[in-house]
Amino acid sequence: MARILVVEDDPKNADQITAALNDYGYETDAITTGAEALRKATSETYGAIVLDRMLPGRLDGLTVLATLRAADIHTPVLILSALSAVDERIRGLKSGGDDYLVKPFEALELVARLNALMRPRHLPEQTTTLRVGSLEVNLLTHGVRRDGTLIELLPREYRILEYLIRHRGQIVTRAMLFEEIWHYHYDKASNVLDVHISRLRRKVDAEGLPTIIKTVRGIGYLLDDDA
Amino acid sequence: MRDLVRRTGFRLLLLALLIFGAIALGLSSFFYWQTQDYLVHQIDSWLFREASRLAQIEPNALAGLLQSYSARNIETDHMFMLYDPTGHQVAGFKATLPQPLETLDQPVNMSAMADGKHLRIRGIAHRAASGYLVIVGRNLHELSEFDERLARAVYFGGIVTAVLGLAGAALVGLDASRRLTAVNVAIDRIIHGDLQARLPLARNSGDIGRIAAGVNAMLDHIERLMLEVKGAGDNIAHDLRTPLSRLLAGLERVRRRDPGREDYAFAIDEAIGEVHSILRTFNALLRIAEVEHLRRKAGFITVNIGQIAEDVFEFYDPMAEEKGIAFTYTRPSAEGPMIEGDASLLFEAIGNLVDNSLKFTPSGGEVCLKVLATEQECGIEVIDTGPGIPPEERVAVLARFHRTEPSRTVEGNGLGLSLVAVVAKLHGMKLTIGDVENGCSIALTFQWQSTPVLAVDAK
Repeated sequence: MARILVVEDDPKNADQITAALNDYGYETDAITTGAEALRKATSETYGAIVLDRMLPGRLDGLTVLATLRAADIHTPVLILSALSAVDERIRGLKSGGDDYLVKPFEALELVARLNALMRPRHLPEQTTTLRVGSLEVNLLTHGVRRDGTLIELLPREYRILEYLIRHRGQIVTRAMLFEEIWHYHYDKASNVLDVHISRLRRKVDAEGLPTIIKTVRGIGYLLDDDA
Repeated sequence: MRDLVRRTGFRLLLLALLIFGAIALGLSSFFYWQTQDYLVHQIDSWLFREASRLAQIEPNALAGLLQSYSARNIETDHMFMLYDPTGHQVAGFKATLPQPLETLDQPVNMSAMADGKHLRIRGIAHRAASGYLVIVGRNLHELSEFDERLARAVYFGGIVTAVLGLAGAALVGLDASRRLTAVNVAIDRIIHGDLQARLPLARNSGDIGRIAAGVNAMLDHIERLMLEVKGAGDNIAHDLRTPLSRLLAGLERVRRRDPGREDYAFAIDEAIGEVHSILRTFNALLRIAEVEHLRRKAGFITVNIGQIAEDVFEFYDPMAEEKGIAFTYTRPSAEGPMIEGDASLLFEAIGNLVDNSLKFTPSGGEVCLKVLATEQECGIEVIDTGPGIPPEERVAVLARFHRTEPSRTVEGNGLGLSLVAVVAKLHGMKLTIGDVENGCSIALTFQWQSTPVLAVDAK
């Protein structure tokens, strides 16, 4: 599995992050300064970089990120920050970050987001249909079929399903899903999202068919054909 | 005494006294100088007059005239003297030859001895053609006496002023000191935790009184804030005790029994759930504090309230349907109103209001989300057929952790409306809690001032 560069100056946080990533099978390199981060990221190949926004010394997280992008290094970067204000988030993403996670966070949230960042970004151009088991989604017509039967979905339901199917086999956290579909940040989204998912599930898993959208307790959902 | 010298009142008065003294001294000097000048001028004109008169008289006749003068004027201040070219006195007021004599025909100050006494004279000396020296003079003891009296007046006046001034300064200083001591005592009490103590307010106490009144107003405010913080603290303690004791009870239960592997897994999941709930409360609390201290106006952009409300409606619609509540959305008649704001925060605020309504409205009830857009204001209103909020609790519900009586049994942390309130404040919006027929209405409105961001069609 890919190596992940963890740039975090707080040793306790760094330990927790590396332990979580190791649990999920990633190898990690943990370093504490911006200068080291630049050296490592330019000399070695990583699947992704977890970058703390506040770093000691002259090189803070956003400067490191901007320098990397200027040097044409496009390793996916997930920014960690204690600042949750929306304009902070926007600044982080504008500097070239691929995702932004506010501390404190759950290990699984970090892993799920890294998984999403590291999956192949683009499908082959000729792909118009995505299939998971007996579920079939036409990306052009937005037609959804299960076992060949057409399923009527509301536009938002379709977008949820398409996002899940694009991330099939990976855990999608509730926060990821809500940010992707609704484009807001909302801490109370969980219960309501569950309702959206259960309605989608009712339509997709018609009577007698195995559940294709699974709930991962406490964190999110997983779309998989392995019933 | 040293303490007194340090008092501001005393010092100020002392300074005033010094300045007053300096001015009085200057003024006296000026009067003295002017009077002196006037008197000397008077003397000099007399001297010129007499000298020119005598200059026209023959020395022999002059001797005779002066003999008669000196016989009459010996005790007066007006002196006439005649000396022969050798400096020997021929006639007039008996005295040694006055000195100096370098300047003739001009009034000068001279001195001479008469009857063994020292004489100070202002005089004019004229040398006649015959070589005889005529001196006309005035005794200056009048002027000296004037000087002495003035000096004495300044001296005693100065002493009296200084004594009275110092006494006054001491009185004022002691009074101020007494008042400040009272203030200090009050401050000490406050420092030692008596937040109900206030600074003493004497009548007509001027500056100190005004400061004391200001400090007292500040203390009122601080006391109120302290009570609020204490209230919030108590609420946090109370709210977190419940999930913490559930967590503890669950862990103890699994420890007590003889559980299998699955029981352990179940207990751990339960514990994780409780910790999540505690963390959620903390996060909500921190979030409110974050928004409250936000200067996020910098990150504001023009947002469409109608669009955000529609997104909230769409997000919550399935939830309402699950609960059997008729949830409706009333669109604005035209393009939704645009304001400067933060879309995520507004979504959060409107979402919290809808979330509350759906939570408290019983199955079979109605919830309506309305977009308001008139010429005066714009915003949203959430109307439900839930239990409502009693008028006396409408301010309290905005405080952190406040929960109305019927809501205690419903899941939640009592932070939702607090967040709405801080978001409203950040956006300059008004949060209005009102009644409707069998239900509750909460509106979040923005009053257009003179310049709306964009004109609103309010047909």
